[in-house]
Amino acid sequence: MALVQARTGKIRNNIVALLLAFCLLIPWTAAADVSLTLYLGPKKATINDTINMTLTVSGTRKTPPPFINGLESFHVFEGGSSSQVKIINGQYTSSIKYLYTLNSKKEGTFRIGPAEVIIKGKRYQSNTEILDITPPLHSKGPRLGKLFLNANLSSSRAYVEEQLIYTLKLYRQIRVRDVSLELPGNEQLTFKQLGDTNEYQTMYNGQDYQVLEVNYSIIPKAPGTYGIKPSRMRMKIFDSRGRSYGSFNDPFFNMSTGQSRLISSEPLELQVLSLPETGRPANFSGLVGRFKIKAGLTPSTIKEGESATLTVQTTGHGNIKHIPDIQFPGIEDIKVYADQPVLNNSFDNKGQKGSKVMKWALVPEKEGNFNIPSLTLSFFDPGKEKYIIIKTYPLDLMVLAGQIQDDKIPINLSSQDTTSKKQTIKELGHDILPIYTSIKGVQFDVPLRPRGLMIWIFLISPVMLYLGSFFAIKQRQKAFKTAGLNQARKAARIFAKRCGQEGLKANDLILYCRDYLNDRMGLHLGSLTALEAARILLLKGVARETSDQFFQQLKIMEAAIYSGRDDQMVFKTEDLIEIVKKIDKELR
Amino acid sequence: MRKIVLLHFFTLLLGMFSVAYCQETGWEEVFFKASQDYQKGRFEDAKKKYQLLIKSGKQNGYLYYNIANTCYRLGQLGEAILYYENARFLMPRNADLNANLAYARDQVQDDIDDPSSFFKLAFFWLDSLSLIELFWSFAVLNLVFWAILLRRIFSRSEWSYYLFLIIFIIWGIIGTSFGLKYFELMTDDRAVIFKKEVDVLAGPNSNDTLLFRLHEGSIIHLDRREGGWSLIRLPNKRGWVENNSIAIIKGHLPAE
Repeated sequence: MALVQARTGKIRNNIVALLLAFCLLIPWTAAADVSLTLYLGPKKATINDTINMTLTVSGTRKTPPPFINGLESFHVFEGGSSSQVKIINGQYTSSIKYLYTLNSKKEGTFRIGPAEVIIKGKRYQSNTEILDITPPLHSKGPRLGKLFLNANLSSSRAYVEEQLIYTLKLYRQIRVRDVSLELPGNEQLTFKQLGDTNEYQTMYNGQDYQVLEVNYSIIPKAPGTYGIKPSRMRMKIFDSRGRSYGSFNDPFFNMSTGQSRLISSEPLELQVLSLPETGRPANFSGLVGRFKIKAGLTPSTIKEGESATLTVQTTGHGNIKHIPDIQFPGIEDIKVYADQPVLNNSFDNKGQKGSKVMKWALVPEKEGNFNIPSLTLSFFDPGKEKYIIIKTYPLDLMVLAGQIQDDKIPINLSSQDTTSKKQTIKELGHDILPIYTSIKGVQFDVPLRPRGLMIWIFLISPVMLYLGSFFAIKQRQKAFKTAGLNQARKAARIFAKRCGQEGLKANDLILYCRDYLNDRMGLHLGSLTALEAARILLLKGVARETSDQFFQQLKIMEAAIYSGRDDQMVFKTEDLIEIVKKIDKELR
Repeated sequence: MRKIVLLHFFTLLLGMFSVAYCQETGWEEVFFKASQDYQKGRFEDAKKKYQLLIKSGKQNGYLYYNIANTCYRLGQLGEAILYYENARFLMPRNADLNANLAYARDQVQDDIDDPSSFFKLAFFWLDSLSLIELFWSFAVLNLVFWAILLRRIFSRSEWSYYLFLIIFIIWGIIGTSFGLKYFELMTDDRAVIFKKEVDVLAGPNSNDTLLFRLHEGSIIHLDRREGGWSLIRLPNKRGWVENNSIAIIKGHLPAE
């Protein structure tokens, strides 16, 4: 038992040591990559608004104070910092978050950032953010109270597939909780949230409001006039008006559950026009928005047999999923291998934006100067209300004399990837694989699940065997113990009975004493001396006086034997029986 | 009632006939002829012969696989998937089977996403092992485990302690896997849509509202049956279909 406990303790110690090492490793692993992210919410605000700014430094939990560029036109208030460590799927990340609030001194468009921080002598920089500061809002309507919802559409007239921004602002001067939103969507108008909700302070109709702003992108799918029903927000409000709780005039302290309130925004109307037929390009893909296209060729000079990569990137705001796959026209004496286009999709305050990158590997088959023609893309610009065709610049590819290696030309489509690009296997047909015709496999029946006998033999019988053996051994041990106890109990009685015989000699009595001790104490003594007997009795807890008496009796018997007077002496056994009874009593 | 009795009688007769036929001609010959029929494009004959073998008590993954292929060739996608799934119970790692099953599933019109449970993710190996394989693994470990325990009654050596710990952990994992697999098989309520298109209704009556349609080969879960109707379950959807438009996957394995 002690050995098992010691082992368990050892294992526990090892686990604790491992956990400690694991915890100690966290900061080291977490500080591996440092990166800075600057975030503004909102990105468009009035001069009265308070803008929240967050700088997240990932990869470390401690940094010197960061410096943020572009804040000359703002009053900056520091809101403290918080650090955190995350362990997700065995990946450790640590970060520190600096919070700021900004109030603009003037109107205009400002570039904020990059933020800079120096860690262990190395300078790290963040991204930059653009912030539009507009003149203050002047509401024409009546004062709208302590809580109201305002909906706004970026334009009340739009074209099919044009992206619109639907902005919902909850103005409040009271505390709210459990806010849920119901949007007025239908099949033709679907709402897609743009980024996270923003919370800031603003001045509206000369009053301070806390604003919760959320933006949605709407892309109408069909022409027509749509009435956008009011959006509805359900929440719990905690208004302290008309109540007095003394110094505890706060819903946090009064433990109130709040009142449920449903508020609606005003309905809006949207007129959606069909895309004009006039001027529609033949290959128009339905792309609506504002886009740019650019092309690059790397390298522009190669040897015959080598490959160059043509990259065409289309970027912009709008329904980017409609950016078409541009067809590369065939060029004589150049083999062209197209890569899978890559579409990136994200959101900003202007709505959905993204890019599509297409790559082709160009492998010239002979030397010379090749002209890569312009590639075109058409889209409808709702701002200009016309179709726009954009083109890439034509590019030149210079091919120098070199050795053609037939079809084993390495094709490198990715500029970062230096290993040779293997061609994916083209599937030319589809069918199932054939049947099994060999009897070998079918020869033996395979049971689906184990049958009763199998379960009995392999699962239950080992358990029963073990339990049977265990109990048998325990039973045997118990039997031994019981037999020993019985013998011990009867030892004095047997001794007394034996001593009751007539004409006992010293030799007989010594043998009886030995048997008594053997039976009483579970011993296996072959012969017994007086000294030995006394020592055993003392060890077993018999009083010294009794053991001395027993010793004296045995000593007399020994003397009789060794002096040769054993045959002449007849012992009186009453005293010896009394001593044994006394021993028996003391042993109990 | 009389019809049912007659049907049972004919089924019994057919079963007896198939056993007698296989015993008379030898299952090897039936199998060989079925394979020949398949290769010569006589898929109906091949299917009948393979089914005879199964009815005669032959239980083997390759047989189910061959029937599934035959059904596929006959354009019976639902039945093909049913037999491929049956074959998977017996030989889950067979590459040909998995390729054909994946291909057949790819032909199914309905895109039904069956979410993985926690146990399936935690015991990811369960899908690649058959119940009988897990049983034998557990049986061997069970013998070793109890043998070590038995030895430790007589002599408690240090090496036997560590060996016991290791075997105990593996024994626990394999035993739990076996239990889960057994439970999975016993509670397998999957069924396959047999007809080309099946209307799923709001209730067990043909006048009930049409909720959605399913197509041949889709795998659904069967909740319960009422009269001639079955209540089926899909992730986030439920509805009633006629009994004859679905087939329970487990129900096509021969009784043991």
